[in-house]
Amino acid sequence: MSARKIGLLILLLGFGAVVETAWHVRGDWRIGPEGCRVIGGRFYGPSYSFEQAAERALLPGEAPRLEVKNAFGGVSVTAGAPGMVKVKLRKVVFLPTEEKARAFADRVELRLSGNGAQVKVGTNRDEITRGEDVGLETHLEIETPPDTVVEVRNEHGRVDLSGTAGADVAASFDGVAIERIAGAVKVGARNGDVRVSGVGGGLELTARHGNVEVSEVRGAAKLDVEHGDLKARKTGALEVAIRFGGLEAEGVAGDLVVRGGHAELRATDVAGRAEAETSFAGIHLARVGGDVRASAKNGEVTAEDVAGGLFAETTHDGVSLDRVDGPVQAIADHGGVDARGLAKGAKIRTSGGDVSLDGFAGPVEVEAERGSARLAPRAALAAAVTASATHGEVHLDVPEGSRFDLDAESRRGDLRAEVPGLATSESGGEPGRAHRVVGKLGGGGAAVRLRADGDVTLEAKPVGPIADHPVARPSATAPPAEAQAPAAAPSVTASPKPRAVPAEAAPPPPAPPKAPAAPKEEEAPGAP
Amino acid sequence: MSRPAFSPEGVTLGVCLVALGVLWTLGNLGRIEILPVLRTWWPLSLALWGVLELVDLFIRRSSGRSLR
Repeated sequence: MSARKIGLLILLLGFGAVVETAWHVRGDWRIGPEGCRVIGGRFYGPSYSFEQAAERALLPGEAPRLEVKNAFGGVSVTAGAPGMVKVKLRKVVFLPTEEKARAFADRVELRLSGNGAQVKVGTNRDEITRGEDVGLETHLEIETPPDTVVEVRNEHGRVDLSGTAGADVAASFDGVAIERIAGAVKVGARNGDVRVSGVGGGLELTARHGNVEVSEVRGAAKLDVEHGDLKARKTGALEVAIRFGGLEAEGVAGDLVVRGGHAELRATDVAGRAEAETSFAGIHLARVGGDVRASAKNGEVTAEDVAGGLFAETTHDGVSLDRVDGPVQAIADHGGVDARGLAKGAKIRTSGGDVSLDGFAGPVEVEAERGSARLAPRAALAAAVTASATHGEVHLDVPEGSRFDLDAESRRGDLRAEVPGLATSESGGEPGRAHRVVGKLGGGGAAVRLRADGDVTLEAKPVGPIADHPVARPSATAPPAEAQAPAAAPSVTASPKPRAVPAEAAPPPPAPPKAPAAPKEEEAPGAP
Repeated sequence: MSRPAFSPEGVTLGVCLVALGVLWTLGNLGRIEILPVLRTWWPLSLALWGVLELVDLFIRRSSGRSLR
């Protein structure tokens, strides 16, 4: 057989195979369950909705506990009448015809069971969808007494919860919104944004791959966020672990403790102390009522209006401070320190950066490696000042009324001490260009020791305030009263017709599912 | 050396190309739905080729006998 014949045979058979394949897959390009496409975890395509409702009475006297389990659908829990749990299930079936959808929806059951004050809400969707390629969304709308502690487990569906006594929510692949909860709240969320507001108790939150907003939490909040930004406003004591995101905290009624990585940290109005560490980003603090401890690797630290002491440590970036009432210690590796208004002195060490102190009181110790130091106390010097600079200069402003013993030395530069009243004895170098000066001002006092490889300069200055204004205190941090959740534990006995709640082993009949409502054809977004 | 009367594969390929072009054009004109037609009739190309091969074989044998 010739090559031409073989080639033609392959061509014809190949053509036939293409045609046959195209015929078989024609109109059947589905990715996912029948009649729909799953894109981003959601169902798309023609769908039909069917509704079912049930309710269950609760025994008076015991705080109810509601457990909700769902997937591929939203869960909404709101506060309703005392003593009664009402559930509405909306079944959205993604099938091409209403008949098929209705037949499928009829097999989906709303399950409402419980034992005593415990109520469980769910569906049999796991049993129905197992092995069947049909898109099914089950949306649960629940009304429960306000004194209920609610537990929700949901996947691929939004969770909205409001007005209950407590909440424990675990959700994934959609958002979570929780508001006006009287007691404690616990949230675990993956791949979705979280918003929590108005919590009367404490908050424990873990979130991955989503942004988080927390506001008006009366108790302590412990937040663990990765791959998302976190905004916290008006909380109690705040403990945060955050990686690959950013933190904005405003109004912390207690202490703030942040462990960050690859995360920019910003906090304002912290009533207690602030302890923050991060890497590859900066730390920015303002109006802190207590001590500050900030450590940033490859990032800067800025702080203003700190009522307590401050410790700041940075690498490859600098430290900037404004108005600190307590003692300051700052270490900048490959960075400088720029500070204004330090009321109780400072101990500063830098390498590869300059130091500038503009307005300070109290003892100051500055060590600048490969950098210069410029010290402008503004107030009369009465405490010890030590400054050394290798490969740099030292400049000290001397306000009127200062009293100190001076020991200044310039190893390779000029030494100038142009201060009226300074009695000196020069040594070394040429006259007027000494390498070392020892003397007294105002009869002597605290020790002022200045050392530099470059120039050392003392310059007389008038007296002034060490800061433009006093340290600003944190503004009101407690959540306002109107933001609080409703009072917990309203009387369950208020139920007009309390019915007995049978044991779980014998499911009660009071929740006969209503007949499916008239179907409503829906076309989900993005449907063809 | 005498040239063969015709090449079966050449005729088959030519006919198939003509048929495909005509059907595709009719499909573009909206006269037919091309995929069902192709899916139904494409095996005829194999049958056509086979028939032409047989005809070619017959012609060769006939011409060989007459030459003797």
